[in-house]
Amino acid sequence: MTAISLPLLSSVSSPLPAESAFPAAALAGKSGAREMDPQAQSRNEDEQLVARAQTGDSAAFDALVVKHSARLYALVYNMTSNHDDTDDLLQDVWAKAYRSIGGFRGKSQFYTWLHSVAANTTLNFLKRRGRRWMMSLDDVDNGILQDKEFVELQSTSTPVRESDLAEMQQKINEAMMKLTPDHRAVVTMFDIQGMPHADIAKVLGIGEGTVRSRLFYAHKQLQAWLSEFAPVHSNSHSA
Amino acid sequence: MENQPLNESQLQALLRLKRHETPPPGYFENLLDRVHRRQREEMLRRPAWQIALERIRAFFAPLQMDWRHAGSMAALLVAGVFAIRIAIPDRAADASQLAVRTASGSAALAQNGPMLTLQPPSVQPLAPQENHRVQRDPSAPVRFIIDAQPVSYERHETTPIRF
Repeated sequence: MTAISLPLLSSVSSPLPAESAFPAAALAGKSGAREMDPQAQSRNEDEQLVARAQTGDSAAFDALVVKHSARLYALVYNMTSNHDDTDDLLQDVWAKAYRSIGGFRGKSQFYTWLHSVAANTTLNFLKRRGRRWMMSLDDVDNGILQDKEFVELQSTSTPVRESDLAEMQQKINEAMMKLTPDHRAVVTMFDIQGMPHADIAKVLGIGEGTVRSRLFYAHKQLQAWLSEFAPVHSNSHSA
Repeated sequence: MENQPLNESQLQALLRLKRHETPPPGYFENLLDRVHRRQREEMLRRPAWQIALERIRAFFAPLQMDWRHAGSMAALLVAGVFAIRIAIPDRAADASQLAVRTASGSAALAQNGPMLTLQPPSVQPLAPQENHRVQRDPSAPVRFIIDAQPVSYERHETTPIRF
């Protein structure tokens, strides 16, 4: 098997499709010499790969798998908090995408369509599974120690400073799992994946207003459940 | 010391830390293999008609034909086949009609003819037809027909059968 370099989940921070480390320009037959907006370039690259995949080019479909798997994994994992379920669902998603890529007409961006397949597959799974769930969390990578936001949280929040990473991860995931699947999907896409409201609305097939209201409600609940991580201020002068 | 409520930006910063949860090393490298395996499994599980349909689609795909065009072409083809069938008389049907006529003629000949075919003397006809019944003298010897050559006890002595 050929080793393929893949973008880490930590690199998924832009609100639009991640610019993959995969040499997709070569796959798409582009020289890459022309200066182009990275998002537009990614979109263009997707269009070319999809067009080739629709004619039965399996290498083009493989390139799409390699390019988008990290983001899809993050979406599904953060909705299920279970690595094994995520693995199964991710394969389901790619199998569905393979079956129906011929019917993709390009009315929306490919990554929106793909996220829609992934989100709906995961939501159906979560609704079918009901309340029977078990966490099987991935390890936190070492990059978190250099993360500016984590360093800042450590400096302001005593619980973050005192609790170990695994404990903090456990609590955040437990709070996420208390949300309904619909609210969790919105929080995952907006807060963790950084997708804009409009794209989330397209992915879930709902209005932007619904996205905003779900986010508002979910944030209120999470703020209550994760209040222990709030910055602690000394009140010694008033005591 | 007192806890302030977690504000919006602090909550978002906390949630963004989940980006650092990553699958085991090598997970994505093996994913493509698993996706391929899954595709093969699905291919094997598919019914034959789906595979046939996909092959037909793949065959016509290079023509870049719209489904409406394909449908109208198929309708034209069917109409053409019907037109040809109407224009040219059906030889098979004629042949079968001829065969029926020949058979009925032979049957009539067998019934009306002077000779009775392979009927032993003790067996009575099942459905006697009064109009066309062969009137045979009961005292006359029974005659059989083999290979269209009438044979009888009388003739047996003169023309012996050779095998």
